[in-house]
Amino acid sequence: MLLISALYIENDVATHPRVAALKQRYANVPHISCDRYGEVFNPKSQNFRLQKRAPALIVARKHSGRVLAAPDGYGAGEGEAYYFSHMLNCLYDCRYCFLQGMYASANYVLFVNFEDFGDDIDRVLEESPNQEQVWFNSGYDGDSLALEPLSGFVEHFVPFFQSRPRAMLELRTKSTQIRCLTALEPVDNVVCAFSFTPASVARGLEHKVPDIERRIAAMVELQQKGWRVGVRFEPLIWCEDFRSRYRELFAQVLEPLNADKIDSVSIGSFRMPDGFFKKSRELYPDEPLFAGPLSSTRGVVGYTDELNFEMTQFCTDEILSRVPADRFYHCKEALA
Amino acid sequence: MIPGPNINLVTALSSEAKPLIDAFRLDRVLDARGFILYAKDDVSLVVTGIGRMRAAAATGWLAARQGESRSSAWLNVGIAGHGSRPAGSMMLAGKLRDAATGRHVFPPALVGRGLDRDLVITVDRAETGYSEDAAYEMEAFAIWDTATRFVTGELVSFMKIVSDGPEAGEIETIDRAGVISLVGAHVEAVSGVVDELRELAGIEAARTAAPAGIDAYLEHWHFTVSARHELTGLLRGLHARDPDAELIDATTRSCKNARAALDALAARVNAADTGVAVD
Ligand code: SF4
Repeated sequence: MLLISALYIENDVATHPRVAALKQRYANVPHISCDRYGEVFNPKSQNFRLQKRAPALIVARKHSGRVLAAPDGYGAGEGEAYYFSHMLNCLYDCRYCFLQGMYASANYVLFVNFEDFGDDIDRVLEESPNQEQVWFNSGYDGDSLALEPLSGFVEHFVPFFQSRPRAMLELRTKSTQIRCLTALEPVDNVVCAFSFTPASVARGLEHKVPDIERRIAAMVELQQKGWRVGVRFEPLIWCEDFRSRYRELFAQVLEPLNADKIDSVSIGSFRMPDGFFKKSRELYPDEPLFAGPLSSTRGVVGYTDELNFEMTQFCTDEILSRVPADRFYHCKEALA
Repeated sequence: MIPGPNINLVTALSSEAKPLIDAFRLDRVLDARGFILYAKDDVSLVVTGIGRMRAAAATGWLAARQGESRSSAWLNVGIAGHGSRPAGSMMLAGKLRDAATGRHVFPPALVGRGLDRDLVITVDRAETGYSEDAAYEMEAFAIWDTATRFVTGELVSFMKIVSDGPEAGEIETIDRAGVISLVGAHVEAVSGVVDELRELAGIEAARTAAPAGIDAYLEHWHFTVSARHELTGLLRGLHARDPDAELIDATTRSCKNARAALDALAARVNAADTGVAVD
């Protein structure tokens, strides 16, 4: 069972069935009531790095802004793209993750009013009657699967999407927590996308993430069971022996998959808004990643243009030698 | 200036302080004026006197004595009334309320795993109604408000021991010996929380420490506040990318002023573009 240091409960959802189950499950940790989750989550005098050692869980209702348009350049599929976050924050602790720069707190927030998210998704679908498909991405504010035992997100939303074939769901994960999917029959309009960096980079930057071999095994198992899987080489990280590391990674990840059935493969650069970057570097002043060959352009920190070009060009060529061009895309807006 | 990390115990009463002074073998700091202060190694204890004004003043005073350190941890230990708990029971504050304004804050629950956590209400007059299932006392909110001007909330914690209330008896029946005994029964828990706070404060101390090599620069040139920030970032960056790098090389040393030294250092940091080192 996932350990949490405390359970904060918004008064408004205190009697919600999902909250009742969590209260029972976490009967041994302090239960603390609050009026609004922001009272606990937003105050400035908090330290994301320290909280990451023992996050608490905050259960709350999401009142508005439940389904939002995805940033331009994000996403694989044809058609409109949206994202929705039933949770804020992540079980894992990737040093390149923008969450550490965006939020004051590392506590997990779980919005339990899934039904309202569902209503908003239906509304978006109604408003786009001519779109053959509309994409809904989860995993923007955290990993889609890693906290499944706690959230029950997949259990609720995969059947929801199954009955709405025009709505495409992308799950984004670094987890090996696939039992929630393998317990179900594959669903055509659900894609489970796994993110990777080279094993040696992952060891240095992706803290608490399962090792790459186990993630590949989980991804292959899902594909073999008939699920659509995607591969995300995001963010690309400039490292010693970049070319050989990434060439090795592409082989390691793509070869065990059935190439004809891969849903999509993408690359995306390391990018972070200036403010998030500054805060991340303050939290981890000795982190080599933040002392790398980076520059800020139009309020976003990323690798210098020349380096980005070199990295994406190399990776594009390598990937296209392994997968058909119509499955590949370059994500301009890297998410978690 | 006392360099961090420090562990600061804060009590309102000298009787609350007594068992802690004994447990941590603290000595009276004779040159401290304004408040009664005890200390040994990295642990200090200040006796504030009763009420929010004194508590805020003493907390600010101690923070100033410690050079406004960003890595001091604060633990307020004291007796409290409680609406439902028996005498002698102990809890940490999971939520603080200022009775005067109705404002709430939530001290992060990083330390004291396994200990109970309750709402703690800071009141201006001793509470005798105990209308809520909460602890009532007179200092916590002010300590929080003051301490979090200097340090992050994870480093500020509150431990309350029930002395009075419907299940605990009347406050008038508690004398100095009674308070000593109530607090004394929980020194082990205090000590456990102190150890946890020390670990967190150590992480903050390392994070906020001046980078190695900075003194060589500060001795050579005059840096404005913002230039000093830039210098700190560059030295950290150089060290992050190459832990063995010479922090001030001959070219930098020959620079005429701080700006030139910063540019020379920046050029060195940017020169190494090998990216993230891999094993
Ligand atoms: S990058 Fe993704 S997996 Fe890593 S911490 Fe952020 S949300 Fe979690």
